[in-house]
Amino acid sequence: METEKVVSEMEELPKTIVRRVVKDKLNECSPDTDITVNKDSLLAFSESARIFIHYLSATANDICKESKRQTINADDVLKAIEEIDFPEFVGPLKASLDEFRQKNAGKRAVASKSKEEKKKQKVEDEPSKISKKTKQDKDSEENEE
Amino acid sequence: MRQAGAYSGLVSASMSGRMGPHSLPLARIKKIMKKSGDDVKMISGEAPIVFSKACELFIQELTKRSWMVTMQGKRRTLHKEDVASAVIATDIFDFLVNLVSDEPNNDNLAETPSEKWKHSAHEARP
Repeated sequence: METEKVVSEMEELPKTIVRRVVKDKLNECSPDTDITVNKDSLLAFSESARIFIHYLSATANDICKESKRQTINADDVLKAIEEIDFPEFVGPLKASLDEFRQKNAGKRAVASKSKEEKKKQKVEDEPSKISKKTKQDKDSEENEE
Repeated sequence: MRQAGAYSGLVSASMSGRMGPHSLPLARIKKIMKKSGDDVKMISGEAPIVFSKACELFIQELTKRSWMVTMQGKRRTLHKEDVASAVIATDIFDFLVNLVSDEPNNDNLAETPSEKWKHSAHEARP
């Protein structure tokens, strides 16, 4: 029995995070009253969330298979959300997904920008080498004088 | 002599600041996803992120509805029974019905909640 418990704990979502989400929402719902969350109810939230992930995964997996693909992507998950009757989630989910994509794009842009700049410098250097040479010659001439 | 106190305080503050925004660990989500079915093999990099946020929104929705039950009972402590009532009262939480109805029966450990869900999901789907 104890080993089973350990295994199920591994599959569970972190209690601290579940608690924080619940507490934050309760503070939003009733900012004046301090609502206590029973230990058992926290477990109930955690278990419910786990089953939600199962349910959503299976639905997303079905959608993915229907499109004859092997990898569940973000769009499959968004379609699954609608299918399991949580359409109000789609908006906020798209927003956070866009944010994530922008962050990643930003990182990639920085990396590719530096690459591009290096390339540009190379390209600029080549023709400018000739002009630099002449300039240098001029400068050296001036210095000599 | 160095006064380590102030410095260590700064360090710990910055560390806790980094861990501030609550988001469910992606690795754990991936594990749970893979357990949802034998044929769930490959998951894109973005999918767990959508899951993490969806899970958060779900917990918030369940919290709100459970809180409404607590308020109706004029109580200040949210009990597991309030969560159960919220699940039963809300259509979109039907997939959780088996979980809440079986919770008082803790002796039924052989069947995991995911298996219970599979049964109910098969029944629910047209």
